[in-house]
Amino acid sequence: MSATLPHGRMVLTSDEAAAYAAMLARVRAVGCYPITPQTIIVERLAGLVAGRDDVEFANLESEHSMFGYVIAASRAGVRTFTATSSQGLLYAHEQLHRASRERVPLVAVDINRAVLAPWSIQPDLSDSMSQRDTGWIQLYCATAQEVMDSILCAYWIAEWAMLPVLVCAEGFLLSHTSEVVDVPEQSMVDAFLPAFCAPDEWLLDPELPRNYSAMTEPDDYVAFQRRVADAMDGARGLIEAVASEFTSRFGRHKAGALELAGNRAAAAALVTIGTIGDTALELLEDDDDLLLVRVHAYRPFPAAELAAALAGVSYVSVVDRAPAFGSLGPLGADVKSLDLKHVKAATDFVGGLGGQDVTPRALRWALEQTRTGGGRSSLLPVYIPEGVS
Amino acid sequence: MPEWLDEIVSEDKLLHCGHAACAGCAPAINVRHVLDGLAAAKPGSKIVLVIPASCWTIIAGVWPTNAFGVAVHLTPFASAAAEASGIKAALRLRGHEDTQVVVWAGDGGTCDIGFSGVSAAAERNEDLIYVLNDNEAYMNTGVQKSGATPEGAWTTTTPTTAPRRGQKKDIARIMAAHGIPYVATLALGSVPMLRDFRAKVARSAEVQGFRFLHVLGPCPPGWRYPTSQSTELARLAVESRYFPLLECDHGAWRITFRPKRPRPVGEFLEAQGRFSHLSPEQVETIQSHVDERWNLLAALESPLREVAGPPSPSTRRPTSASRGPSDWRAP
Repeated sequence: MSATLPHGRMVLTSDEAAAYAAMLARVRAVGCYPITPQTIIVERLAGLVAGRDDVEFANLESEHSMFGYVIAASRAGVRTFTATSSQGLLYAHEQLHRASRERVPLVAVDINRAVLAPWSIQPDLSDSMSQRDTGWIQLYCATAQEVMDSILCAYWIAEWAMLPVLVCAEGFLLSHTSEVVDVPEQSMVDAFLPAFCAPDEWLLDPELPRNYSAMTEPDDYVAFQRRVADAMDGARGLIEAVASEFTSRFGRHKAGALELAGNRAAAAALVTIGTIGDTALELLEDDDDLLLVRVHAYRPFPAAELAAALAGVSYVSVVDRAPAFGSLGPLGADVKSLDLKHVKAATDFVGGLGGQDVTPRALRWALEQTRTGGGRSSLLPVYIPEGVS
Repeated sequence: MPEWLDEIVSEDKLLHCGHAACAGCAPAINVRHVLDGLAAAKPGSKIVLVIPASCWTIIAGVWPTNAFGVAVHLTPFASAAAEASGIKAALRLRGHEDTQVVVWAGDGGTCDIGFSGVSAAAERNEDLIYVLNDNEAYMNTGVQKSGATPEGAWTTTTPTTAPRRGQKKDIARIMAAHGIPYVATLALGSVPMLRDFRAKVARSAEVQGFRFLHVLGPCPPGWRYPTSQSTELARLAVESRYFPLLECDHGAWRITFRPKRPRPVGEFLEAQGRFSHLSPEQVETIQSHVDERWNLLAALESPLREVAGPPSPSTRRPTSASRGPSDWRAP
């Protein structure tokens, strides 16, 4: 494989970076079903594994079957990969709940795309945000490099925590735009990422007549759910530890739960997720009283880290790229659940839906709204108006 | 007792006593013969059983018990075929090529919600044995109509005032149309039928690729008959040609049981409460549909047999339940 997989600095889209990362992680079973803008990932993988008898590549007939396929292959002991977008992720929803509750260490990529209705193939985070309670660790990326690095870290995290990880990257903004990506050598990845070794008591073993996911009485059911919750809590430290290990081995910074930028003692903070966090970096050019917080690991929610980062600020603006109809946006709701008594105003903005541009101008508008407006008591999000961007 | 029957009676059973099936559950007998037949056909090989949502989610046992002597992988309703494919792929990569991956799915999980997955796994010719446990309705949820519910049958969602319209999905022919190597229909209504049943199970074990076994599973609470009558119902279903026993082996159709004096389908229908509302005219209509389908299947059989012929005996390994003659009769 290392003979055919290029390494070094090259120009890649996030879709291509994801395919290379899966190969570098030595995945052995790939479930495939096309959906724009993810499709390039599985197309690249199909080409990379063609003719190899040590990797199973399955063209399934739906995302529901595709996730079922990788769940089952993982349970039978091999490292898997799959990718989807939008309606595909929604179609597989049942399997997502099931994967985490069965403690299946899947790694899947979601190329974020708006959801019906009306039709849009443009980016927003509605697809993965509506899976936030399925028990998957969620990592949101802002660059193609981060997509590649996060996938490599995700296998480490998933197989240690025995929880599935969804690596999210916005469609077109990342999936179809190219940037310079440093593709590590196979030997470096092998040294970083141990081979998948499924726990004996969890593995689907033909030699052992065990009944997996059998019907439970309430107390047993609760015990299983508690273990998922505990594993999710335990993953917080793991995410930081793996990021730090990655940083030291590969010589480039890998974000843990949060990525901070700007003035740590600023009065105003802007909390973002995904590529909006990358756009926000432009604000620092002429605003030295601003702290930028980009949430990379959204689940488990980094509440303590976020509370610490926001401890000295007076104004918090959160930008969600997904609605939660009848409530705050998902990220806004989480941020507002923190103890922010010292904060004078905290406002949740929703923008970027269906590919709407979220420009530096729109972000400045949002910051100004929070400073001057009455966002503090607002229990509903403020939708960034069309004219602003 | 003939030797083959003695072997079957005395074999270790892979469905243990104490399972949670209802009294008189024909599928409980059927699954025992599927698993034990597969184990006998490939001594030393292991079996992984994949079960989607169905009665068998419960019958397989409450955590941490297992009613089966094999590893059981429970899946959501619609993904058994895809998951069996994933297990087979992973086991192949891990050197467990010999393990037989078997799906045991109901008619809802096969003909309705899981149909696209079954069709796709067949189209990919996955190396699986897919067994349809057909009790002709959603029995686990309390008898609701499925795509395999026969015309005229009462269910809780097709009450007698608004009876089931349309025909039971002809899943055996649909699956055969995928060009898969082996399709068979099975029922356990008599000792000779057991011989036919086990021969088909044994044949499915020696074929490579996607194998589809359609097993009729009489269900006392769903079909409304006394629990002592399950075997009798299976016999009436076959002898009335309501459920013809056949196989399609590499494209060669063969009816494996031809009742010399077919019983009227009315005898099968009258034995069950779910058909008790039918008028004589409606029974006649059902009889005409049964006759039409039999004639269609009989027509499928002859020309293909002449062209393709049955698979050569030399390609078959001897099995404990060797194939019976094609014209055997029920006692």
